[in-house]
Amino acid sequence: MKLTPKQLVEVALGVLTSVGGYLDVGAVATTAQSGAEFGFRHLWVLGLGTLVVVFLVEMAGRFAAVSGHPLRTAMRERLGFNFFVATCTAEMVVGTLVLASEIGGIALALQLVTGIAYRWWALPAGLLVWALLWNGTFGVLEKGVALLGLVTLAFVVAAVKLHPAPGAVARGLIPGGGGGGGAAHYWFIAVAILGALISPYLFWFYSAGAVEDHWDEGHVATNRMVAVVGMGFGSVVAAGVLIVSAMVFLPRGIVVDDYAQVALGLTTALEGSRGFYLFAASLGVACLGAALEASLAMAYVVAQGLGWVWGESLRPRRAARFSLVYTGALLVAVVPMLLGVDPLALTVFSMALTAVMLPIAIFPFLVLMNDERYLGRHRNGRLSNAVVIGVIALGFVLAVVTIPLQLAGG
Amino acid sequence: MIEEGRRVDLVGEVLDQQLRDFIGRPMGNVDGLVLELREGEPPRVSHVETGGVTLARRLRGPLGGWLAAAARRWGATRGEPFRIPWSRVKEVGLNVDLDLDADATPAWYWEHRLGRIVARIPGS
Repeated sequence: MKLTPKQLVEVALGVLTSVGGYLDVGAVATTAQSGAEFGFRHLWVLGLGTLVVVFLVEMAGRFAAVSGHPLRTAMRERLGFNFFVATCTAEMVVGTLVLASEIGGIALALQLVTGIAYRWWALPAGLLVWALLWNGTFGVLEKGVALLGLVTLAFVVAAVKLHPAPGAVARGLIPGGGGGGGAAHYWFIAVAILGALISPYLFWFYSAGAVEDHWDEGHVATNRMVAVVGMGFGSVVAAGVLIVSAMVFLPRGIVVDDYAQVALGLTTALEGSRGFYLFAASLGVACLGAALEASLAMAYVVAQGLGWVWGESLRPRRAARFSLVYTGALLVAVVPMLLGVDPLALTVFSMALTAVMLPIAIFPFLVLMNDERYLGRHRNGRLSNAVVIGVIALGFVLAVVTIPLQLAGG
Repeated sequence: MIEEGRRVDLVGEVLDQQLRDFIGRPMGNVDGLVLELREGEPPRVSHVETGGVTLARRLRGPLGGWLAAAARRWGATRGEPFRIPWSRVKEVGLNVDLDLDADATPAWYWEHRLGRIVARIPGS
């Protein structure tokens, strides 16, 4: 595939979506945990998750580009008001928890650098996210986060420097059972990784972003490439986290239960304080991207469902209701961190809730992606529909499996 | 303009579609349809409705009651549904396009009121 400079710029939307929604605090936490306990044996889960996300992101972008309506506008139109009220309410609750976790991630990154406890950083972090949304435009945020997101490649560099055995990495890409006593835990972590990777808000965000970027039917091919490159970026970095964690922690018998330990992993791999700061920067950037994305996604869901004026590129006074939704969400989301709730615990909890909601969130894809009025000849083919049905089925399994395993403490 | 003789599926193609004003700005969705019954003739769509009052009727249980109360207390139309005559409908596609200025309708009442508050915040 040949890239024109213009297409290269469009990739920014994919990378922003990826840094924010794919490579969020949950993905870093679960992949680090996985590597420390199971070595490379979860790499195939990353592969599967990436494949699913690429397909769904492609659909979200194609839908918006061809119809001019983002998915959430169309969900209201095709599935009605009652469905909107039910899903929107649930998503606002889960979204606020996710947002709180991401603000916690930013605050933790600042704690790592400054030594000042994360509770004190919650308010500044929330204010930073709000100020960027309030003053920035979609294009500036998209390109800014995409550029900053390149720092997360430190994990890939670290993974390469540790010289993992190619054979062992390849074996990790083949699905396999836990083996031995850790089988249940092995599958629990696999579920947690999938739950962290497949976050519905990522699709709403990307779909709205395609409209903000004025995509039209001519962008169908670009969209496909953006989905692959953008989500590919996230998955390569996530694989980097997993490999670093596997090579540094597993031989030493360290179980990851806080972020400072993950920082230590990068410090070991990159020899010295450089690694430590790179980890803090990566965590901070990934969580900042995710916080921007989660707050915007909530505003998009409400505004598009109710037919309000919306758009991050509009001045806040031109889209007052829209801007007040993300403002309100941020105000609520800083509270748990101010109260000193453990960010990692909150992340795991909100990921479980996301997993439970997955089947309901993905079901509309089946209805909308086959609607001729919106998509014409760009409707889903058999393969895409099979993927959607597969994800809904997977979602049901995640929903059923996650809660009892969470309660059992993993 | 809507072509003569075109058949439209009211529930599938009109209900819940996004409304747009004369320059394409979103102004809510088609939340309800009003049929006028006529002696010896088929019923005619006289109005489309939009806004909280109409939506409250579509929700069952206490939630609908609360929304209706809120619409009476704070709504732009004080509890009356906002009805748009069908003659104002210019086009039915993925959007329902109207020959109306959103700024001058109750659909943008809260957008304007909140906009005045937002305008006082720096950077808006």
